[in-house]
Order: sequence, then C-alpha cells, then structure tokens
Amino acid sequence: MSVPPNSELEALRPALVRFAVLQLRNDDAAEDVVQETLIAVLEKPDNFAGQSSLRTYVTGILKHKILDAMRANRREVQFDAIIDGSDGNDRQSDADFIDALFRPDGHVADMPRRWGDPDAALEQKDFFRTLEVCLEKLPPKTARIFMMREWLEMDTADICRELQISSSNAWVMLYRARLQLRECLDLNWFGRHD
Amino acid sequence: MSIKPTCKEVHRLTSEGLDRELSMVERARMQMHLLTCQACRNFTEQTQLLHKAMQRLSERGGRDQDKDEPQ
Repeated sequence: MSVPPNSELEALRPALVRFAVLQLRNDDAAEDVVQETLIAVLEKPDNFAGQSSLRTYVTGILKHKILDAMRANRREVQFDAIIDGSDGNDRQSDADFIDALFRPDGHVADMPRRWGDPDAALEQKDFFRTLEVCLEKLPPKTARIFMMREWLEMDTADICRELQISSSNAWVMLYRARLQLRECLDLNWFGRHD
Repeated sequence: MSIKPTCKEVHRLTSEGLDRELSMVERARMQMHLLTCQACRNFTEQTQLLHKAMQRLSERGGRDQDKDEPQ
C-alpha cells in the first residue's frame, strides 16, 4: 500500500474540520486537531495498509485526537460551566423543550408525519449535509454530548465520567438532542422531499 | 408512572433504549403502546433512521459514494 497522496488528504480536510468543530465547538481547536491528524497519517503511512478507505482511516485517527483534545480541555473548561439556554438554566430548557411536544395527558401534541422511504435518504449526499446543518443548530452542550454518543460512539458511562454529569442527566440531554434533530430533519429534508 | 403508557413515556424510552438497556417491564410497556399508536411508531422509525445516519457519518462521513474511490 502506498502513501496516500497529499491531494487526497487535503480533499478530506474540509469534512474533517466540520466534524471537529461540531464536537469541540471551537474553530482554532478544530483546526489544530485536524492538522495533528493529517500529520499523524503522513508520519505513519504504513498503518494505512489494508484499511477499507482513506476516509474511514483518517476519521478514526481524528476521533482519537478529538478525545485527547477534550480531555486536555476539561481541565480548563468545566462542562457544567458552559451554558446552553438563554435563561442560563439548561435543565429547565431541556424539560421545557420536551414538554412542549406533549399534551398534559401525555399524548403527542402533533402527529409526527411519515417519512416516505427513510432509507432512501441515506443514499443521498445532500441528506448528510442537511444532517450536519441540523447538528450545527443544536445548543453547544447538547451537540457535544450527542456527538460523543453517536459520532465518537462512547458509551454513556464514559460520557458521564468525562463530563462529570449523572446518567439521568445524560439521557435527558441525548433525548432532547434527538427530538430537536428529528424536528430539524422533518422540516428541512422530509418536508421537502416527499 | 401511570398504568397505561403514554406517548411521552414511550418517546423517552425510545431514546433511552439507544443509551442503556431497558428493563423487561419498560420494553413490554413500549411494545404494548406501539401496537396501537401510529405517532409513536413513526417516532421510533425516525429515531432509528437518525441513529443509522449517525453511524454512517461516524464510519465514513456520509454516504457510500462519498468515500475516496478512484475517479
């Protein structure tokens, strides 16, 4: 297996930066981890041998670098010190967001419409762009925990240890993230592509 | 927890089921509710799609043709 050409790596850069920003919510830190990732790939090209695709391989390295960056950063910024809601009360705003979707008797306020053939969406590149835009719209804390869970694929116990939050708190935030993403995809993708 | 599971409970369990092992009672309550609730069936399907999409994004940053195949 030969060394991946620089041009191929450079072509991946924009996508890598977008993911790093989603996870770290800081442009400079994101550029740094992407730079470190690309350097790591170039320094040890032999490790790439036999990997499925360059993109998959590089994404794997990026995830490790992001995790390292989050751990280093944890000493500086407490997760709980980041505030999502404009009223400064995250837990209340998560609860309000969730409550607003249901009637007092626990029924859904609005019937979620059907999504046609949902699996067809997964074959469309634009769908993933829309998903990224929806991820960008999440409040920073919500986005970070959701990305840890579903993009870095960390288990909940590790996330709680990493962020110093309770598991019930993590479940509520992940739930809120999914509700908001569902709503965003419904409006911006499925509402338009029926 | 009321006797009959509500949409609110089932929505929450749909999400939590992706993050932790649900108890047998929780699973039974969900199944019972899903039999008769189209809204929650739609929500479950959509949550699963979101999860699948994220897995794909996580593995390779998007759909198949997006990978670095020869031009």
